[in-house]
Amino acid sequence: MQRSANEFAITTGRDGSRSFGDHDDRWAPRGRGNNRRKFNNKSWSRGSYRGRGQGGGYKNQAGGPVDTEGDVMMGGDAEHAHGSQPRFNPYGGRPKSRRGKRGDQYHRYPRDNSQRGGAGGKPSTRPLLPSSHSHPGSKTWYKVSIPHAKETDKATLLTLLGNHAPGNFRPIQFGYKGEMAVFYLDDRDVANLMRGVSRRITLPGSNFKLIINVNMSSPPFPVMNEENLDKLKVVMSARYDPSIKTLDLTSLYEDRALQQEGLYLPLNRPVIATCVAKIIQQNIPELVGLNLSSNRMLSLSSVQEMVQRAPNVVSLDLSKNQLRAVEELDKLKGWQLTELVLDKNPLCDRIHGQTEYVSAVRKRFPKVVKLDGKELPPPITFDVSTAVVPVSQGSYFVNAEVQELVVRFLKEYYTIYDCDNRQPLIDAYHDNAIFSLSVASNPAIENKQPSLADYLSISRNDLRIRGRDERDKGRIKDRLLKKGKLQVVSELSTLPRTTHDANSFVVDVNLVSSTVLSFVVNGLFKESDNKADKPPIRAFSRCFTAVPAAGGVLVTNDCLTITNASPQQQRAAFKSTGPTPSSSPVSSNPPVPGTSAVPSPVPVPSPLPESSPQQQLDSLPPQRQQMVLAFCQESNMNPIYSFRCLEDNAWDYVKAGQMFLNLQAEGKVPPEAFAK
Amino acid sequence: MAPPEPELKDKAEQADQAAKAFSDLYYEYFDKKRHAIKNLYHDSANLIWNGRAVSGKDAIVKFLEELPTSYTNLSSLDSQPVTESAFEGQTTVVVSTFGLVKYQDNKTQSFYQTFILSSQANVWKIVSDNYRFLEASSGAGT
Repeated sequence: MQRSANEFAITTGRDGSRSFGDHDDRWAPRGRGNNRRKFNNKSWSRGSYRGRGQGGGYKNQAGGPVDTEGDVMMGGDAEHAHGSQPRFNPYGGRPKSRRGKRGDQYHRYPRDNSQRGGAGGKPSTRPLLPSSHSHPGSKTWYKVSIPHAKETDKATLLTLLGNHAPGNFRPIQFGYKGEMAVFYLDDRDVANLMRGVSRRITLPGSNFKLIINVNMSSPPFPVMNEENLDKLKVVMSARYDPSIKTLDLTSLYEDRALQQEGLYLPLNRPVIATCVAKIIQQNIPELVGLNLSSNRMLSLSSVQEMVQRAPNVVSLDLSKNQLRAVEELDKLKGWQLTELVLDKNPLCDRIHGQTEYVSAVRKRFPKVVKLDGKELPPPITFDVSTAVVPVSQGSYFVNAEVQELVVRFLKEYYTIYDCDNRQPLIDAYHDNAIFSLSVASNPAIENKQPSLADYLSISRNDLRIRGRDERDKGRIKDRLLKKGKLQVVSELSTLPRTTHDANSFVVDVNLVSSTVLSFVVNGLFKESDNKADKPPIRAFSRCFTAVPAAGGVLVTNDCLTITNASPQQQRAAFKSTGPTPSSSPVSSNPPVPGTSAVPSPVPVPSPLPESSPQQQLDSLPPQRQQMVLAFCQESNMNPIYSFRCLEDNAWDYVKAGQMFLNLQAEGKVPPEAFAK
Repeated sequence: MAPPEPELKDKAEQADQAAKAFSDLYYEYFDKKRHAIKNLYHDSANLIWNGRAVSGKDAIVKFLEELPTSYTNLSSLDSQPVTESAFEGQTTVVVSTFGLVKYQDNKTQSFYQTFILSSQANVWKIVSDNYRFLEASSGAGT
C-alpha cells in the first residue's frame, strides 16, 4: 500500500513536468519501485489528499500550481525535487500551524492512506471540488481512486458509478493500482457527483460500500499499447479525408470517440505525437494537409517527428495552440509548406506588423502563399532560382553542306599552319585580307600561368594598348592590323610554331549567305618549339570571314584571340589522337611537323578548288583519308605522294609501305615527296 | 600584290571606335539591363550561344533574358573592318572579345564572344553573335 501512495506522488510530479512535452525520458520507469526514492522528498503531494489521510482534516484548497494541463508552473519539478521550495507547502495560503503538523506526519501518510481513507469526513459536509483555471480553456482533471475495487469487475463497477451521473460519466484511463481502481474525470460536476456517492454505493452480493476518493489531478499520463494504438488508428481514419488528403486532428485530446473508449490521447505529449506520426507514415504517407489546431501545444517538438514521416505535407494548421516563439517553426523546416495557419497563438501577438510576421514565416517556409487564410504576394526568390545556364552543345554548322566546306577548309588550313612553312597559306587569303591577334592571360586561372610574351609585341588587344594619346594609340593599332595577304602570311610566319589538337576544336558557323561565310573555331594548341619541359597549352578563338571565290572561299578577315588553357583543358589536351568519334568537327591526327626545311615547290594543299590533287584526296572515303594521313606520318611524305603510293598499291597499306621503303633505299623517292 | 585599299586605315579606326563603344554598351546592358538589350540586335540577327542557335531579334532577347543574372569583365577586345563586298555595301566590323563571366549560382569562367556589327544609317546593330565558354570549347563534341 505504501507503493500506491508513492506512485500517486510520482504521478503528480511527473505529470506536471510532462505538460512541457519535452522530457520524454522521465515517464518510462513509471510505477517502478526503483524509481520511488527519487520522489520521496518531493514537496508537493496533493495537499487535499494528505488532508484526508490525516483523518478529517481535509479542507479543499485551490490547487494553484497543479492540475491544469499545459500549465507552465508545473515545470518547476526539478527545482522542487531539490528542495528549493519549502517542504509541504504546496499551497501558499496554508496556515503555518498545519504545515508543521503535516511535516511531522508526512512519512506516515501512505500508511494512513492504506486504511481506506481513514476517518474521512462525512459526505454531507464536503465542500465542492475546486475548478482551477490558470489558463482560459484549460481543463481541470480529477483523479478518482476506489480502494479494493478490483474485487468487482470493471463493467459492473463503471455501470454502478455511471448510474449516478447519467450521460456525462466518461471515465478516462481506467486501471488498477494494486487493489485500487483508478480513473480520471475531466468534468467537475461529475467529479463532485462521484465524491457525493462515496460510501453510498454497495457492491452487488456484498454489503461493502465503495469508498470513492476524488482529487484534483494533473492530466493523466497517456498510456500507449497495441490496443490503444488500434483505437487511435480508427479515430484517425475517421478524421482523414482522402479526397483532399487532409488529416484533421483538431482537439484530439477531447475526441469523443476516444473518450468513449476511456482514452485521453493529447497530441502535446511526444509519445502520442510519435504514434500519430507512425500511423501517418504507415497508412497515409500521401498526406498533404494536416490540421493540428486546438491541441494545447506549447512546443512543436512533438510534431517535429512528423516532418520526416509525412514529407508531403504542404498545408498546416497550428491555430489555437500555445506557441509562444516563432522559432518553434524552425523544427518543421523540412516541410515545403504553401499554406499555414498560426492564428490565435501567443507568438502572433509578439510579432509586430504584418510584414515582420510574413517575413518570419517565409524565412522558415519560403513557399508559403497563404497565411492565416489570406493570400500573400508570391515569394520574390522564386523567379531567380529558376534561371539556369543552358548546357553547352557541340559545333554548329547550319547544315551539312556548310559543315563539309568548313571542315575541309580547317583541315587543310591547320595542316599547313602547323608545319614549318606557313607561306602556302597565302592561297587561302583574299588580296585585301586582314589579320590581327589579341592576347590576354586567362582570368579564370588563379595560379601562375605561362607567359604570353611571344605574342605581346603584336597583340592588338585594345584593353592593353597604351599609347601616349589617342592618336598614338591609333597609330599603334594601325601598325598591328595586318592588311593584305602578303602582310598577313608573313605575320603568321613569325608566330611560334604550333601543333593544334584537332579533337579540341569546336566550330560555330555564325553567318552564311551567298556573299559571305563567317565561322569561329575554338580549340587548343601547343607550341612545338617551346624549350620548356612541358610546352604551354594555349587556348584560342579564331573568327574567319570569307567570300566565295572560284569554286571555294577566300579569307577576308582573320581575327585571332589567344590565351592560356585552363588546368582542366591542359589535362585533357592531346589525349586522343587516334581515330576519333564524330565528335570532333575536324579530323584527328594532328599533322606531325615536317622536318624538311625545303621550300615547297609542289602544289600546295589548299582550300581553293584549283588544286586538283587535294580535291582528289578530299573526295576519298574517310577510311582512305585516314590511311593517307597515317602513311604521311610513317613515311614523312606529304599527303599527295602518300596518296599516290597507296593508289599504286591498290590501297594495300603494308604493300605500299614496303614499296616506299624499297624506293627510299634505292634513293628513288623525289625530294618533292617530302615537301609540305 | 595589290596594295591595301587607301581608306582601309580610316575604316579600321572607325571599326575600333565602334567596337570600343559597342563593347562598353553591350556588357553594361547584358549585365545590368538585359531587358533593354533588344535594340542592339538586328531584326534578323543570329545568336549561337554555346552551340545553341537562336534566330531573330525577339527570340534572341527572350533567350538572353532567361539566362541568370551576370557579371562580366573583359580581358581582351579586338576588331576589324570587313570588306564591303561581303555585306552588300554596308559598313561591317568584326568584334572579338574575351573575358570572365559569373552567372548567378555558377562558377566564374572565361568566355569568347565574336560579333559581326553592321551600320545602317549610322546606327550599329548586331548581325551575328557567337558566344562560347572557354571550357566548353574543349572536347565539347555532340
